[in-house]
Amino acid sequence: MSLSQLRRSLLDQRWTLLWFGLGITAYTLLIAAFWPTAKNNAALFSSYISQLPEAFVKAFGIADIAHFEGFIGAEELNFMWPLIVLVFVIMAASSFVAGEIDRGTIELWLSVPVPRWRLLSAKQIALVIGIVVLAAVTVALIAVAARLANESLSTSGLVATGAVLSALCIAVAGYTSLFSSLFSSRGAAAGLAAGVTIGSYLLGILSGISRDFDWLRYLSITSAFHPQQALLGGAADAAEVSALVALGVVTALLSLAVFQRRDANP
Amino acid sequence: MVRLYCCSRPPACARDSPASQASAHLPRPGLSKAVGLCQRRLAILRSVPVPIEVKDLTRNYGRRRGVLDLSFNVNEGEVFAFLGPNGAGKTTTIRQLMGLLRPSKGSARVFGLDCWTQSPRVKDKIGFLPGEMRLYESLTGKAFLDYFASFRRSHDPKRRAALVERLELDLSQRIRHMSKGNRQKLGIVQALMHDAPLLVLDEPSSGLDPLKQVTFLQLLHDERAAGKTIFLSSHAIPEVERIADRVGIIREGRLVAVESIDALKAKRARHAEVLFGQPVDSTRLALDSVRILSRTDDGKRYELAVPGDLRPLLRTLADLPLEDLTLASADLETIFLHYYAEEPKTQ
Repeated sequence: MSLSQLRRSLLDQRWTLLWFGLGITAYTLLIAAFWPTAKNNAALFSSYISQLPEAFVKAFGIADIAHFEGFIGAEELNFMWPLIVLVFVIMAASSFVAGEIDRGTIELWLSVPVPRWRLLSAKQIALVIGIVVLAAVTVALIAVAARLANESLSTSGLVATGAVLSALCIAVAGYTSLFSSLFSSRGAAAGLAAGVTIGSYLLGILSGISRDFDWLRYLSITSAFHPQQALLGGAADAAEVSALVALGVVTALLSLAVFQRRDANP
Repeated sequence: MVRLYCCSRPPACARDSPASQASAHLPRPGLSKAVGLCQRRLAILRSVPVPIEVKDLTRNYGRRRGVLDLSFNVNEGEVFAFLGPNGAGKTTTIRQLMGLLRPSKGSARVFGLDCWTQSPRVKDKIGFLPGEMRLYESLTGKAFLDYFASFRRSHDPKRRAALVERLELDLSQRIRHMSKGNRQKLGIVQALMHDAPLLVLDEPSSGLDPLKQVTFLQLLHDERAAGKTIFLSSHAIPEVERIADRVGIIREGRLVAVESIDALKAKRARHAEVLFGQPVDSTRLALDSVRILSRTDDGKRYELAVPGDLRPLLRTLADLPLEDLTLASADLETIFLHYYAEEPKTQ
């Protein structure tokens, strides 16, 4: 990994990271502000949820809304947080190589006396740092919100939640990086990554609807994404987190191999 | 490959190909010549591999043509200009030298290192200016140069400051607010600031105003005097004429000629337009040093090419009913146009 490139990439993403961080902060505080209302009307909400279709409940991870962990999971962690942060991840990772080609800066970028894989891996690591920062900001805000609402959350639960959130983003960052190495257009790389992510999410929902489709969960990254359980149980499912991180690492390594060998023609 | 030359000419084995024959060291006037010879002798003592060695280099883009069987060397301390119209293959060649494209066949080596498999080590020896100056728009000029300097151990801030001052560049400005000329200057500083022994410059003076072009040419002269090897592609023939020792002419992906500037200058012809008061028979203008390009108005108007000495023509014209004579300066453009107009030759 090139330290010069890492420094540059961290500087490049600082403003984007700041705005996404502020967005998450605003959303988390907004949701937390609703918790007292939800808590006081827990029976009403539970009755309402029981009327919803099972697929809908599974799609948005709505369960056990009477507890703070369940409420945060349903309103933020299970759906909205990945939706927001994966936009950042896909935007950033799709620009790794394809963005340089699109902008026409690839010739200059590759004129430095550093192997290509070291340049790209520095960008990947900068993004992982960004992901971890956003996940850390999120769990810190959740901890603050819980404290303000006189709810108690375990530190291990918060750490496990941060790990689950980061793992999902690392998986998406890995295959988006691969698409960025394969294509010469950032739009194509980002579009394919978004398509794969949405498709994977839909397969996850489908797998929960019927036992006949249960096997589809092996094709879905969201099947291994359970931040609410991590927050509630105080531990993440090691197999699920490992599977997501492994997917991210393997596809990231593949992207290095592809980039090392491909033509870099603007 | 390491080349050991025991005199200022390459050995016979290195002179087999037409390109290599043309790459024999060339006389330069005055001090430049002496400096060039010293550099070559030093290279001999140090057993330095040739800065650029291209052999049978071919690159296909499927159905699209790339470059075909290019072979040439660029010697130490030499300025080699690569000339050709748009799409001829100049940039494809440069991209292969820079390890951006993998050759379909053949090889390109820089100081003995393979440009594809040893690309990082190759780039350590190259100051590179790309043809299209697309930069990181959000950076200031200073941040841009700092970024590229951070990858090199050999970076000298004093050298960079001197280049910036000489090109009168404001580094505090964001690149997105810079004019085309200033972007080009920033690219030039980036290419030269590392003090690399080989400069690879793709259309380096494009976008520079005439004054800055003069400054840039002076910079290149200084770099050559300091022992640098320069490989540049250009459309600007007068610029090439002033700076280059040799030129390679590429047409439709093939190298159609590698010539020394002196050899080309010997071939150049002045263009003359002659108007007579009454018709003149073409046999009156049949001189060794004159070629008749056209005869119109029943022999009253002639277009002539005068490759050599002008005096025989002037003496002949003095005895004819001359009304008007226009003589254009002798330039290389006509020679290049001649190469471009011909069908490409196989090497």
